[in-house]
Amino acid sequence: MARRTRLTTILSLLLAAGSALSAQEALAYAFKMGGGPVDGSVRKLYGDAGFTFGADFEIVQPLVKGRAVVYTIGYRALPGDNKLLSFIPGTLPAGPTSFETRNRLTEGESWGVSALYRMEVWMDDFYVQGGLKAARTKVTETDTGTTLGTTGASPQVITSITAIASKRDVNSTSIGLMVGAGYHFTERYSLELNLMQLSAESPATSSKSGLSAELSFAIRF
Amino acid sequence: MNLFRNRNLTLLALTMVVGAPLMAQDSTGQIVGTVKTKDGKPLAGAIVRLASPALQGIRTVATDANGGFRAPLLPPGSYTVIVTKEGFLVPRSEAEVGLGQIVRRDILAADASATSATVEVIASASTVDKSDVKASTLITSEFMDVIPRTTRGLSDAALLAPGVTTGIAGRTTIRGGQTTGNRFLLNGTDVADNIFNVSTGRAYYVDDSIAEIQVMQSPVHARYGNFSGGIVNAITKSGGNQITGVLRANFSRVDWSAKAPQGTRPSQGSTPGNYGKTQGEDLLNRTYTLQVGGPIWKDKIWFNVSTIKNPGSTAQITLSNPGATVTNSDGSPRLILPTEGQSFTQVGDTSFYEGKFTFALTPDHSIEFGRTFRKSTNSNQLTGNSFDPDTFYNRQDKNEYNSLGYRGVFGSNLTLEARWAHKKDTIQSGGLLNRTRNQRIDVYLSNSAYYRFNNATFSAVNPLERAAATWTANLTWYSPQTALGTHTLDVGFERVKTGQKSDNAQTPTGIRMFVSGINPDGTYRILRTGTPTGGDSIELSLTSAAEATSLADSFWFNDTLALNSNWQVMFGLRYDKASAEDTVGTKTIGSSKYSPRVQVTFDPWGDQSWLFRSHFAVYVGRMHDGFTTRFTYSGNPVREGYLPRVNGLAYTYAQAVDLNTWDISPAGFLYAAGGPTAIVDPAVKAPSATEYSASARRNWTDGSFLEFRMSRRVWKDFYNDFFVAGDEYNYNSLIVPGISVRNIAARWRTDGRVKRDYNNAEVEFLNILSSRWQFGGNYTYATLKGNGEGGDSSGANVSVTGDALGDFDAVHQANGRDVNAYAPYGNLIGDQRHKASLYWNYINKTSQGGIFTSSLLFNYVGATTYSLTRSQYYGSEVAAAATAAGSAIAAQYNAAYANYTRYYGPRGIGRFNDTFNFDLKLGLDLPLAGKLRFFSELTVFNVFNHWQKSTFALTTTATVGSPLSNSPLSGYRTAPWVTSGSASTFGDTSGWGTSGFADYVGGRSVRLSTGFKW
Repeated sequence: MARRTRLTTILSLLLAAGSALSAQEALAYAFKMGGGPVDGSVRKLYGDAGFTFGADFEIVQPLVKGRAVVYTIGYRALPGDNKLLSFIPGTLPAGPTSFETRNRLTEGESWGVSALYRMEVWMDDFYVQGGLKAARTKVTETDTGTTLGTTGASPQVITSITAIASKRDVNSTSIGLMVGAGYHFTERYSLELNLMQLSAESPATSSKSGLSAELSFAIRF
Repeated sequence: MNLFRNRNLTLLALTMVVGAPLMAQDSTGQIVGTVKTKDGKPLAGAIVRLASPALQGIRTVATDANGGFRAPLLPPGSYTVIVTKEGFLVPRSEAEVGLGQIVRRDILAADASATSATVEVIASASTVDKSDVKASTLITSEFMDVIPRTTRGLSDAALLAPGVTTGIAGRTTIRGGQTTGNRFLLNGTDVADNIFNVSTGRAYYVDDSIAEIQVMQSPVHARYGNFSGGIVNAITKSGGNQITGVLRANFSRVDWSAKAPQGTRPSQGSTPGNYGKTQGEDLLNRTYTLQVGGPIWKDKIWFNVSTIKNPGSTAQITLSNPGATVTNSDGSPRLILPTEGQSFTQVGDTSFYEGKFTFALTPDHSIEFGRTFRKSTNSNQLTGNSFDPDTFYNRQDKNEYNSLGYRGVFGSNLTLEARWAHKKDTIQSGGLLNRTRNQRIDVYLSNSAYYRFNNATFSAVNPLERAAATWTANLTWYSPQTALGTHTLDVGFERVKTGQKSDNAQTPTGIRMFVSGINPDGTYRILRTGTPTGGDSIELSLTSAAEATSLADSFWFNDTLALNSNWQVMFGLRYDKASAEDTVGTKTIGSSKYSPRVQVTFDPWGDQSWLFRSHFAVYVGRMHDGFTTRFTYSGNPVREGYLPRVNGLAYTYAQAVDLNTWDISPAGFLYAAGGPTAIVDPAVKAPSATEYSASARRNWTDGSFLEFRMSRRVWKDFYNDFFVAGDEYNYNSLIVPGISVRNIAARWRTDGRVKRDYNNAEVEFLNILSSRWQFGGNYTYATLKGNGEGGDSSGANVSVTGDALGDFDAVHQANGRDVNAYAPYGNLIGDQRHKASLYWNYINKTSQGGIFTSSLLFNYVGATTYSLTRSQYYGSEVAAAATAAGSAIAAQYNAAYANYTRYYGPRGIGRFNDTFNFDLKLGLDLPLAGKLRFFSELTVFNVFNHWQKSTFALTTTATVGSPLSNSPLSGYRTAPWVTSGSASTFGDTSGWGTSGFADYVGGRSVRLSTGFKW
């Protein structure tokens, strides 16, 4: 750094704060991304899509050799699959005066933090960890479709047509257990498998819970 | 115990690399660096020699007073950097230069007199220098060898990059832009054309000739313009001092594919398109390509040629067979030809050649010439009903591309690039003049259908031509060190001229007759009924072939200022002027805009291990391809119809085609048709996108990186092409004075109400795990919102084959309706929340020279949206009402709003299901003899055969909608939304390949690619 302005120096010092600590192995920083299957009653909530994915920033605070506390903050997407709740039959039977095609998509997004205890178990390459994860999950339910108003006569005569187009969401907070194991295959990279409890509620249902198994790839800065 | 540690890291050549935002050349790269002594003193006057199989001769540069050197305009490839300085020992180093990259090499020299003179190359934190200002992804041909993709083409490769998705009609969308807002460049010039639906330039390159592809999501540098989405820039191979080549055969067949699950509904109907063998005959699909490159004169003239061959196709076509009970329209017996219902064979064939020649005048000056020629022929084509084989015609499609480029380095601080290219697409189809009976006659029969006789529909006399010519030059000056740092100054210009020439006559003679019958002896029954539609008449195509053109002139200035090792500022300004002329030379538009570009880069350590960057840029899109078609007579000939003079029930052919048979006078005037279907507002502006972006990037010395980017784009000045009351115009008959006919045209205008916004967050990374393993890819989270997607089913507001334009109808505004009611803001089609591409590559080179590769590619395809809000515009109804009401067009137009079907509700509220899949590719490359190698690549798409419900049919029923009475939606009509099936059957969920109501994707399929390399 041949020439350095005051502003450069200030910004560099700010950015250096973390890295300097890292250099002393006081803290380590990593970016982690992964995903995996979701099971339990919460899977139904999302239309049986059955998977999640996301990413975390991770701060590792070493305690003693081979032991550390890990803090993460991250995002999870919980995609949903569309479900057809009702549909208008090809031939309208006499009697009813209303028919409906209603499709529902329930999907979630979650921001969460976790605190884990990590312990190296074999030749510094493998580790296990466990702790708690708290998440704030927003579940959005989108209904689309059509409502027909009919006379009820035979044959039926359509008197009105209304589009169904509504979106509702609900936020919920959950705390669950998280356990996992990892493998440092280089000093920079590691692979983790974590099991974690998760729960959420949707506008149409009460709270549902389940378990996700996530395979993650971590890159240490 | 660790399996991955302590391995050599040599995989860079195969990587898909994110160019850290940096300045780029269109078809070259750069090497920059420093030479210093081991105690850090700059070594001035050292000679730096660069050699590469990609470079003709050896490029030589000298270090400056600060020990710095720069070698611009280097063809992409592997370089050896050799530094010599008397009294010093300097190591040889290697550098992999990618398309548009600025690669850094900092080198230490050792004093030769020292007792222990060791030499080394400083490990640079990033292979890519920060003076590259763009956000882009580089995809090499070697990477495409490894990665499983359907093709090696530009769009398939581009989809591997973040922020790139599939948009309308399967075309490429980059950072939320319209699919027509991209540029696809081949060797520096445009090859895309949306009117001919070849938006990715697929007709101009052989896959194996592509050397590198650069996907620029945000070029930033002012050199790049005429886009509002992104740029996909490809260069072809140039040859070399050694003969190299590839002979490849691609095989696939339907029977190698998995079968879709069958539906569970009891009323399964037709066989789905993805159901195993039944999707078509189980044919073996074959494609053969050959690419050869090498020297004509070592280090002076190189060549690269390639060709592609598909086995000719055959298909059967059957002439109409109206049946003996069908008579002439007046009930009299008709002519029955023996060819009725007879089958004929159509044969298709394609020739495809591509070549590139590179001439090195000196190592610093080179000229490049490229040519592509593709011709496709199809015999026995038929348009409309006919049982007369004389109405067959042969179709020929030609694509030609020529480019000439110059690159020169002047001294140590100045470079010049100049390029010219010309592209022409020609479609020749229709009837010919040299037929014995060359006048096409359409005969109306008792089954209410017209049948064509004597000659083919349309005309092969004046082929349809679309051409594009590009001229561009860029001068770059690298300043010496100043008090403010170092400047890289670029100035340049670009001119893009596109045109279309066609008369699109309905027959080769420009004349056709409509008659009431053809007698068993071949004579014609012609009646003077005077009915505008269905009446007997002679129709004359009256406008001749002429060319409509559009022109884009651009000038730019750009300065990349390196203040010090920590700070870099780039600022540029570009001026784009667009104009267009119709076929009669009338100026239709004239638009000009400035686009500023500013970027700040912060390198806190000065070693590029971390880079923080932010930019503001305006990208001005090019004018729509439709400006050469929609407002002109090219493809829209004026036609006038006239009655016969008298009734005749047995006209011979000669009598029927005699002009004296027809009453070409005011009394005989029947109708006029054709002419431009749109009016353009002369004040229309080119759409533009304003982008804000910030990024943070971590680089490692082995070439690994991790980058986070966020960007926001806001577009403005989109077109709107709906009718405006009063936009009709009058024809004056071209033959008979005094006759004026009304014509209705949509007006294209710039509409500030049309919105389109894109926000995204991207993560892109490459991890060199070991000498054999790498893990890379990207993830994009994005939202695309707006209110102007248009794209209704009537096609009235879809600009030919371009993207949907604004769909706001002035009638709603005139009726005082809130724009949010009839054009609400929401998720647009193309809004794809999540998108990811992740790949794990393994490459093992054996000691015997064999290479084994494998790649597992994970694709996450976020679902796009569907909308219950759209407009369906009955242009034909308005036109009919106007015609019926004479001159009261505005009143008819205003009254016609009730005939618009509107589905109200939030835009883009619905979203289909996300899907994901894994593709696997296994490759084997074995030495045979000398340089000859055998290779085989087995690609298995959807290797886990993971079937997923993806979309479902959304059918609306337009005819049964009931008007709404509640304000502000009063006057709109809604219509039922059904989940599948036809419009007449609500909730029809029939169909194979469906379970419940969904359509499945994800079935396994296999492709084998094998051949020889040398």
